[in-house]
Amino acid sequence: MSSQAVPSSAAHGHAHGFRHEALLYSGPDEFLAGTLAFIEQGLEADEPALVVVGADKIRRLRRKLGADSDRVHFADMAHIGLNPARIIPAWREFVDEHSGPGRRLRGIGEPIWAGRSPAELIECQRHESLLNLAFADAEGFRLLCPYDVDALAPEVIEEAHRSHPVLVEAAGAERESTDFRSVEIVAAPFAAPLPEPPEPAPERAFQAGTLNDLRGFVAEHAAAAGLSQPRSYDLVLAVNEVATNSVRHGGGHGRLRMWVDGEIVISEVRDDGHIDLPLVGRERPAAGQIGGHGLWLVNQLCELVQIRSFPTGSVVRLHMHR
Amino acid sequence: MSLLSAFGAAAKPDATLAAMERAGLTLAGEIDLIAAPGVGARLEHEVTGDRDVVVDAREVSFIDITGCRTLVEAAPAPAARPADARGGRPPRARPAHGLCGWTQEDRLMRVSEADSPGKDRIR
Repeated sequence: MSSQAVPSSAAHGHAHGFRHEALLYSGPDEFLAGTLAFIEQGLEADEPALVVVGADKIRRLRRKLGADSDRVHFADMAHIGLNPARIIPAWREFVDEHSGPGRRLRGIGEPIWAGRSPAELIECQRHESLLNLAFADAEGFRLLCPYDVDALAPEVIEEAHRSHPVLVEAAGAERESTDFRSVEIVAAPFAAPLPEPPEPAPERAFQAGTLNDLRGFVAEHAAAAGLSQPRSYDLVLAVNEVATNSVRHGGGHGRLRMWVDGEIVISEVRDDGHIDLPLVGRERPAAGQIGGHGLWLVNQLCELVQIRSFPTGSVVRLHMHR
Repeated sequence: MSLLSAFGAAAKPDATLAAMERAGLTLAGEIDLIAAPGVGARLEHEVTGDRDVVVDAREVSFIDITGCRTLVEAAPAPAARPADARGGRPPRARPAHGLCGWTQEDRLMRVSEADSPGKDRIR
């Protein structure tokens, strides 16, 4: 992990493109100092701003901003970012609604906090990298992502160096990250390893003619795991969509495994296909669009979706809380 | 195991049906990748010209995106929407239907106690 100072003019030279910054702060006071300066700078320039952080931080920011807080949009990251794959669509909605010729936008998003599970953390880090791809052409959009260096593990901060081209200290000093991962690397199939279930999990093979049987298998295991009826139905629908993708695009067949990990029901679909669309499931399908609905729907139904594409095939894991 | 039993769903009592002056279809069962083409073909056959086709979907126990897309694609243009359209999608269609932005497509599927056709059934 390394970084180097960049001239202020260069650091601010992203006015016509997407600028993705990591704010490395230590504790609540530095969080406020770093984010308030960013927000107030935007308010002075009359730039629309959306702040997506935890509810407690929103309260503190509102108190500090006073009447100006009405000029800033706020959203609770615990809600929007419960499934990190839902965050990019939220930013997209903000950008589409407020962007215009020559207009600059500001955002603050803190998807990573100390309470994230290991599985959530990896998906959040993937989300942070995908932002660079999703908004590469977003004119004048500046996004600041706070990282609490006291609360987060050093390797999490190291990954922030790889997913953000610019690093900012709470006092305002800016550096260019020399570890920044290029969008070409981000666009490659994501093949981070997935842990095996703690014990052998019930498994069912499927193909086009057995999707009905597969749905019954999911419903049975969802009920046995204690999911409510509506949640069971959501899971049946989600697994069906992933399995349908396997039938259509993944070699015509696949295998489903289901198990419970603590309070989470995990469903895993494996097939022989390859997923080479890095933003799949993170872009709201346009009206009249053919295709692209399946993984979008799955992301709306599940608390976490892990998509992997290995040389041997693809894996999609769905997490649903009991 | 059927999804109906899996989810504890029970068959609804017969509704009092108004005399049907227009074409009507009852969808039932599970509409997925396998069933959707047949449903689509039947709808394409029925939804022609200015005729108002009422689809009763109360007995649909499962419908996925493929099924929803089939129904949406069979819908006539908004200008042809009947003035008395009312009701909504079957409860089980809501997740796929609504989350995919097809909430403006209710013109096709509507369910009401006084306006159920029951003429033909598609499973």
